[in-house]
Amino acid sequence: MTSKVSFHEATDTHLVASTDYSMTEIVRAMDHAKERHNSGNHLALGDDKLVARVHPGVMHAWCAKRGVTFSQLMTDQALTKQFLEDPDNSNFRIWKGKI
Amino acid sequence: MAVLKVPAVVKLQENVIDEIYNFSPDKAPLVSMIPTQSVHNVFFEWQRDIYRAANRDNAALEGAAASAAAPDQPGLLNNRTQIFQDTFGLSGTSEAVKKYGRKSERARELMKIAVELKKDQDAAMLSSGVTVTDNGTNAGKLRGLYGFFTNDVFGAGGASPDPTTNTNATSGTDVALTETMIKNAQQSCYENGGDGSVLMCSPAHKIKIDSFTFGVSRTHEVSTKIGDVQPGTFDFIRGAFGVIKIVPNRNQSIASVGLNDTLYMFDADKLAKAVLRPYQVKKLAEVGDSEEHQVLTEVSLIVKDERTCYAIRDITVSGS
Repeated sequence: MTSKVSFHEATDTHLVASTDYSMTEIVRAMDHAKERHNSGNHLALGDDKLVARVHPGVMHAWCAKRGVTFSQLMTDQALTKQFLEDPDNSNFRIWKGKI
Repeated sequence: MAVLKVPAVVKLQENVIDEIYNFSPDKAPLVSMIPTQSVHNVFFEWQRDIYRAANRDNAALEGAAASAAAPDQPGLLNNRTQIFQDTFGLSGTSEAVKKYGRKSERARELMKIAVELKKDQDAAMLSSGVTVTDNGTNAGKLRGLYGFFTNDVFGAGGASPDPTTNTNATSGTDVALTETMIKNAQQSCYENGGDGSVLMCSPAHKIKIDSFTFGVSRTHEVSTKIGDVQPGTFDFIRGAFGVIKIVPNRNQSIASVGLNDTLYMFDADKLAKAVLRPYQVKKLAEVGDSEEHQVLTEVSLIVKDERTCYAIRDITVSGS
């Protein structure tokens, strides 16, 4: 069975476009993050910390749940921090220290 | 024994998944992440100001006379709007017949075109080097990040653009992407008042960046499953100047200058989509038993201050 997650996004005032995400891809990304965390390989770009590796479908779902736009999540650093520290998204965290 | 087998069966019912799947999760990441702002003309300008560098020797003699200096004026940036449009025509019958996955062909076309126009805007807002004035022959075009970002690194023979004179960047010889380039980009953004919180790149360059990650982890055992990279995912990296998001953009897979050879670092709140005309659907004609429609929008890009951003230009397609 093919599962999917659908979101409807207002592109502007008149038209609405839908976005479908493959559940298989989301689970695959989650497994990847979990495996990466368990391996202890938490570094990226030298000595920086790879905080999370997230499928965009999860970001859209979180925005819908919180009543914020994707643009707000990407522009507001405080909101980004909330997103990363949300226990619901912990499966996508790789380095789990304080941000 | 003679048996009836499937190829011989007359008029089998088709097995079509009764959905139209669209596995393109990030159709237009740049356009999706930047705020929207209205404009009122096809050509528009904005001002950006800058503080002078700190002067630790700023000291005056006690009782000294002072003479006033003419203050520097803010700098001007500008852009032009671009009309993005597409059309479709449908017969009355095509709308009436029962279809898998959608009730209305018109609705499907509208939605599909809306997404496609969004992708077109994304590609233009990234890679367009100069504005073009509509002269009746050439359509008006906006300037994208490629023509705005003056803080950059480029290959031999390359040159930075100058948005104040509408001068495009000059492509240089393609080189490999390095970790140092990304670190320098972050530092430049920070020193010029930004955070460099987004690094937008092609999926191939995302994979290359991921190889930097593995490169520093020689002491860790890496399983083959982890080695299966996830180019469609967003990486959140805690760097020296805050959290940076590595955002892969499918539109940057297109083989074109400014798309598959360039990485852009910026803060999304320092950009905006300028909207002169939001999406609108126009009925062009109703000819007999058919209808023709046009979907269009007229938009542009605002880069509030290009100095807070950075472009890594002239990178090979694979990054290696």
